[in-house]
Amino acid sequence: MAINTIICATKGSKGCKIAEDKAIEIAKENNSKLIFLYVIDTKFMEKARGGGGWAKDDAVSGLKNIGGVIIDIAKEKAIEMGMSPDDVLTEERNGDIASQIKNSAEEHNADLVVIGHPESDAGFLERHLISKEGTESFVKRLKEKIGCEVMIV
Amino acid sequence: MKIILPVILLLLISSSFISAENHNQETQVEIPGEYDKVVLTGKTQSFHGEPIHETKIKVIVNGKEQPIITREADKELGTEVEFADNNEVVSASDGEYTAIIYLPKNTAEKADIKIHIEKPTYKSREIEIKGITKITDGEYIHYKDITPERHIGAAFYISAIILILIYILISFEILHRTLAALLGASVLLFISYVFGHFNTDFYILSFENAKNYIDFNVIYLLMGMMLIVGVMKRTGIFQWMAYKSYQAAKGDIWKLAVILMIVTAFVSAFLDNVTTMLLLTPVTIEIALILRISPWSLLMPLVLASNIGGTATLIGDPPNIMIGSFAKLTFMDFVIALTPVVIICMVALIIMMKFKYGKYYKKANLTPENIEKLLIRLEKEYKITNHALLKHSLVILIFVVILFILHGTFHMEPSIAALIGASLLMISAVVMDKVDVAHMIEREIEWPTLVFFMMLFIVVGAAVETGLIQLIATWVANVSSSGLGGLAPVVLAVILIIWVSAIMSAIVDNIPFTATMLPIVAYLSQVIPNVEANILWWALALGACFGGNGTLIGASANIVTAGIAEKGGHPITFIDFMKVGFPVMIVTLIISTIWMLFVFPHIM
Repeated sequence: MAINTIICATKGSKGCKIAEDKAIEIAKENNSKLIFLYVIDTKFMEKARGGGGWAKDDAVSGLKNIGGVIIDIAKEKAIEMGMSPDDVLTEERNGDIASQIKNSAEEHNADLVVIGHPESDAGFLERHLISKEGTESFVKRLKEKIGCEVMIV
Repeated sequence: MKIILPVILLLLISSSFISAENHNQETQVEIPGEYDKVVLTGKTQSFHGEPIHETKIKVIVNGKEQPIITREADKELGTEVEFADNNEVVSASDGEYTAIIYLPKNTAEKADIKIHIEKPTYKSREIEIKGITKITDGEYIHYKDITPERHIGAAFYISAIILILIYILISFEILHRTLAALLGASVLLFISYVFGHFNTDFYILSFENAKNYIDFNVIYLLMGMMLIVGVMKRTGIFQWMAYKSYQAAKGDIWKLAVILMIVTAFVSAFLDNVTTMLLLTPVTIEIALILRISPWSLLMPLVLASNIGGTATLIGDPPNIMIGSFAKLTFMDFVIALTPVVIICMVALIIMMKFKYGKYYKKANLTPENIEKLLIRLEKEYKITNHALLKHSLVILIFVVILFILHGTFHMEPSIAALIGASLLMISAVVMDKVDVAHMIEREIEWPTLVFFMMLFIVVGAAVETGLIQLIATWVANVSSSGLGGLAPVVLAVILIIWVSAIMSAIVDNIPFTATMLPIVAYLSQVIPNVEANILWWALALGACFGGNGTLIGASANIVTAGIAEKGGHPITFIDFMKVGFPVMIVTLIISTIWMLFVFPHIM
């Protein structure tokens, strides 16, 4: 099966960086187009004072800037590793992570989605305060949602 | 079962109507043609002189309940008028009561007069009135201050259970904290009116009383400051300051960290810590990512500085706002008592951060190209978005700060300064930035937080009414006076308050904790000998605010910072946060304790 488009969802963490490397490697092998995706997820704001609704816009704009840096660094790395700049794209989306990866995969007609293992990068907030959904359940939901192959590194 | 419940409900409702009707029936007072007029007056108060309001007072003469005439000011005539009432009077909010009775001529001096007092959560009792004073022929007066004794009954246990339940619901995140407080307050009032109707043992507090416990100065001050921050952040000033800090540091990361810590502490002293960190964290992470250093090596100093800086002023942190309003302390009182110790703690923080992160900063990718690239990026992303609005905002902010400084002189509540500033800023924002006022009020005011505060005040008020807070306060006073370690009561109280408040604030939300501590500290300030210059209030402020640095969940600013960092690929564990935050908390508490015990008393 030809792999023409790969989406690598990243938040720049250690686990995500391994996924970025893997995605670059596969993209180079298959001459694929590689899209680095950052999803702005402000669910953690619910744990801030007053439910955080008052400052969601600020959180979104702040994370948009951080996401910009993260996917730019990933793109630079792909180019350094020998990919053509034209084959490396970046994208930012806002909302539920699994849904946004699915939307991006559909819009770009992706053949493969590469992500880092969610468990490896979860801090205290994600483990104990925010995510009521376990890692296995998240991965299962992601695979069910996305029509193409999902690789969890 | 389906039928029984509505029937019970109907019975309850109808019985309360019947009762209300009885209650409203006024006694027909027959004033003898020739009479002795006896005025019984005084205060109902606790053992420590705090007024006890809503105490029902009846007068019994020769074993028989006597109709009472009450005396009130006639606003139109400017004189006092007397009118017939029930067989009872109720003490006012300052504890004062006046009951006038008319007895047949020449019987007053020989009459057996007793006062019967009744108040839920207190023991009912009769007090004999001896030696009434003759003023003129046929007119007598007697002053009697009454000190009712507490009654530990159902109301006490209910208010205690609800208070503890709210702490549990909030701490374990079982319910949203606003909902937890709302539930607690409404259940307390429901029990008071429905169960209390049948048995006064269940009567906890009245609706009127509950309203009085809500400190609207705190609510309006928070609201005003939220709007001020809401307008100011539209100008991009906060992120621009971070960019300028980077520019000023000229590629020296340690210098950058110090500048950012000072900027963060300063901004947090005047504006909300959570917003400060929410706006500064993304730009800090960007800087760290591009310079290839761990974002936490910059974020940790920042968030700790934010919690320390917020302690410096009346408006820096919600616990300070609550303390200032409750204890009637002015903005300048806070500046004089707390700002110097906050500055010392900031110096200690900077030194500690140098030891902790100095080595990380050396790993930064500080090539001239990288520094320049970052500068260009930050300049592009974080610019002042509306210069005209910024100028107006700064002028109005300075005006608000001047009002804060002077509010004590004008005997003006600080919330008025915040509200006038918020109104003026909103007008500027409407004119210069085409802001939608309804949207602004809806989005920038943290309504859930304000509702949380209001309901919490009611819950704590109930605990005050039933004597729970008094019980805790007496226990703390006894511990303080125990002479433990040969320490004077005031010293022991300061140490206890600073350290217990800090540890509690590191574990549970510091807002409910502070709300609970307010009446306790007020009591301790009265009963502990040699408590001067509001020292116990400062101890509470220092403990409750610095405690936020102890753990990741100790302050909302910590959670927001951790949340953004996690989304930026740099999660932090509870323990990793504690490894840095807890020692900072301990050091700042030691400094605070030394300051409060050895330095502060000498400069005041």
